[in-house]
Amino acid sequence: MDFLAKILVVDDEPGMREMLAFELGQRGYEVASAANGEEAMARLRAERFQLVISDVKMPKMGGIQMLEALKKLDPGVEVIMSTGFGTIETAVGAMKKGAYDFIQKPFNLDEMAALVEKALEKTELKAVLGVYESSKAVLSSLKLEELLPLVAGLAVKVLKADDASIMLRSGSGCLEVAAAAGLSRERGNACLLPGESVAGLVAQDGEPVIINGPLKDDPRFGGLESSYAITSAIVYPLYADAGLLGVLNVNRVGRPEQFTAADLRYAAVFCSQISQAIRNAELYRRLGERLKEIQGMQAQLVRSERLAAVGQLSAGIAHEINNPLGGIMGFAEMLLKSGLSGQQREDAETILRESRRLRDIVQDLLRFGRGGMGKSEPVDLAGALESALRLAAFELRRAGIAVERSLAPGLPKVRGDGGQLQQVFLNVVMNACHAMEGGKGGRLRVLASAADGRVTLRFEDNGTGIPVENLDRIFEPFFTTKPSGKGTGLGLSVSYGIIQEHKGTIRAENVPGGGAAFVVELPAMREAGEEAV
Amino acid sequence: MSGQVVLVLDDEEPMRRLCGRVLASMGLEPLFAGTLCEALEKLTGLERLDALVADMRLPDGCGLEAVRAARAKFPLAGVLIITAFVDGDEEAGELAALAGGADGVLLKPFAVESLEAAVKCRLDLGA
Ligand SMILES: Nc1ncnc2c1ncn2[C@@H]1O[C@H](COP(=O)(O)OP(=O)(O)OP(=O)(O)O)[C@@H](O)[C@H]1O
Ligand SMILES: [Mg+2]
Repeated sequence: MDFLAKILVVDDEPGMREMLAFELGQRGYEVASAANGEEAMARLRAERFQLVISDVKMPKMGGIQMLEALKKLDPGVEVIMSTGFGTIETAVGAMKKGAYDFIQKPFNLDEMAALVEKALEKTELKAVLGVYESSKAVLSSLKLEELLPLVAGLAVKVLKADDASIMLRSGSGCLEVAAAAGLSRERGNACLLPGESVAGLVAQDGEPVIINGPLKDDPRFGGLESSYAITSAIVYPLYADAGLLGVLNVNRVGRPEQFTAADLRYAAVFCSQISQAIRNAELYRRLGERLKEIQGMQAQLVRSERLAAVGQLSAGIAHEINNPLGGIMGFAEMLLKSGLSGQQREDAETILRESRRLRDIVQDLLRFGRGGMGKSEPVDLAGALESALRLAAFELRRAGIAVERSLAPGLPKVRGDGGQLQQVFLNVVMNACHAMEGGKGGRLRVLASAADGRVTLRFEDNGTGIPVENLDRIFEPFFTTKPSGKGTGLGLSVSYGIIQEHKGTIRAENVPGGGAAFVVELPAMREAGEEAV
Repeated sequence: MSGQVVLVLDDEEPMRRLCGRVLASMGLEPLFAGTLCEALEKLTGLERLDALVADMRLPDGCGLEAVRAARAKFPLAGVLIITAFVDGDEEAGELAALAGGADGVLLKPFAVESLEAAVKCRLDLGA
């Protein structure tokens, strides 16, 4: 059975010791006794008592001396002095030195029992407060990976244990050792299923458990093997709003002092704090994530605002360019009609050709800048592709990249927004360009084909390729491996969104032999005959 | 075709001259206006108009006002808008121009043949 508390009776009169031991034992306390201060200190050093009831005058070491020594050893232990007549002054002095109270001999037993109860309440309150205060300080850390080892260490100290571990529930529902202190640090990390082992059972039932004596002797855990000599253990469940978080496991190893009901109560206070701390850490982590999300949204907003500004700007610029361009093209055509010599003719043709190129670029810029959302019209993918390649032409040429096209003739159109699709292609092409920059013999292959009602575009480069661990992440907003200022990490996430809106898919893979490939698949529009024009 | 009257309205001199050259090559003798004001003045003074070739964006207003004035006085004249673009969207501009009474829209920069064909088409319509 569990005792209410452990009390040490110190008196040089054997009759008094026996009487108190019997009476207090009847009331549910575990009582030990000592004949003098010296004997008492020896016991107090070896095991923990919650209360000491001591005579003042004793041979070898008197009560006052013992009180002083004890308060140095463990100020948490309460002491009641029992005094005979004539030693009241000494008793008052004792209280000044930290005794809880005194009682005059001969005493009424009920009076003594009431005093013991009050003193124990105080020790419990003090202990709980101590647990609370010390853990509060430690548990204020907000990072779980820093917090848990501290908690385990604290549990060892507060519960006077030899080792402690915290097991948390993993995603799969398994209990895994998240932190340990003391002896258990040397044990391998266990992974338990609910119901398996003591911790597993506690996790399953949600009830704290005290185990005293060897594990195999406890009927509740028959059949469970313990790998080392645990003599006493507390396994306490940790709860949060969402349910069970895990368990706290504290053990005493190879020594006789066992955990008591009081220790279980300390564990309760302690565990509620751990749970709170874990919850705080989780909230903090989520706060951080949310913050990042909001920052992300902000950046996206800035980017789309910037795009809108670029759109307006490019509309204005396009107007300014198109007007003089009209003159240049027109007069070049007029020149060509006016009977030029061979060389002059060639020159005028060059002027005309270059002007047309300029016109196309301006048109691309216009379409890009406008970024109209959710248009739904037949889009010629080859055209959108050529536009994107034209916009990237300068960068591609500067990086010395050869572009190879292999577009199946008569590609079906797709329904959607040509400007947006062009933006996707431009993004993918620019990414490939960046990945091949600096290397020799850069080559971008663009393949387009149609089958089974879908159009597939494949952009294959021979650049750096994408590290396997990044393959899943490149479509995430703000994922970039480029130095800040060079990439925002939005290109592919925006592209992903656009392709999704077009009911298509975009994916990335590495190419054997080096380089990456991006594959865009879009649903083809039905044959011209079926589609109303 | 002789005796046909065509008015070219554009604020840019090279564009006016280009149109003039194209029209002259078609055997026409066009009139020119560089501002909306000038165009309205010219229209008031004219006895006959077979075609109007007008820019949209003008320093003193919108070319469509000249289109309206021309339409009111010469219902049978052909009207062609030449514009770089309107409000950032070719199609919207085109619609606006057509709604404003033009028969067609030519986007700058345009090919000489396109202007020739468009003007020829307006004149034939008017004739
Ligand atoms: N063809 C490629 N080869 C190798 N890595 C690539 C390739 N395309 C994309 N990546 C990787 O994916 C990351 C994300 O690309 P994404 O286009 O989303 O952003 P970014 O190019 O870094 O910046 P932004 O496009 O916003 O300017 C890149 O930083 C790069 O690490
Ligand atoms: Mg990019």
